Amino acid sequence: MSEEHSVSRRTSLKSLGAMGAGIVFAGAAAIPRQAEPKPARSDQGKQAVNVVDLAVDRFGKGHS
Amino acid sequence: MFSAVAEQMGMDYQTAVQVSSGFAGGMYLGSVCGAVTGGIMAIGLKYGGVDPKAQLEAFKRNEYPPPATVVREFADRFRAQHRSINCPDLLGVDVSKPEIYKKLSADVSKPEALKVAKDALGGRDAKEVLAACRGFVKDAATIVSELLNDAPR
Repeated sequence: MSEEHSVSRRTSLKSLGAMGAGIVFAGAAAIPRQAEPKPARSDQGKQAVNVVDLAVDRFGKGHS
Repeated sequence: MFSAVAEQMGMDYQTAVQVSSGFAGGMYLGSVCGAVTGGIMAIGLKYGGVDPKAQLEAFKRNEYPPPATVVREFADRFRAQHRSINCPDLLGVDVSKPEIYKKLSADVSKPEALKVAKDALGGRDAKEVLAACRGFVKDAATIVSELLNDAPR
């Protein structure tokens, strides 16, 4: 193998390595994070959107 | 208190509850009432900016930036009703102290335990203390609700 050929081959291997790393990185980024379970709300489903009533209702249930 | 207001403003319930979970008993430090602190956070959520330059410019013009003005108004109105924004002043007892805090959940089936708790809570039983807290939550939420609805962002 000539010196010129060898350098060219090393360069293309480096490029492939960089591309591979890029693909792996992009793939990892594309994996959706699993949604964490959210705590149940005692007032879930209630129609009331009166903030004052809601605040008073939640008091004493671990809410500040 | 904070979770109720914040949720209406788009913050998710879990985040709102978690971020305000250290507010009780004046941040568990006998400091500013948790309902007042929650109200200040809600005001920041609506009026707060992310541009420190704008805040600095406001100060240079001898003005307070929007959140500061509203926070002061909120605190003034709460103080006008209750004379203080500090938990121990409001309740007449510092419930952030572990030995006092425990008395809030005294065993109601044991008269002696209730008497000890009442003595520690300044002559009131736990129900009365918590009812007072509920009143502060209601008043803080009312004021914040009015202030947030007063002016558009």
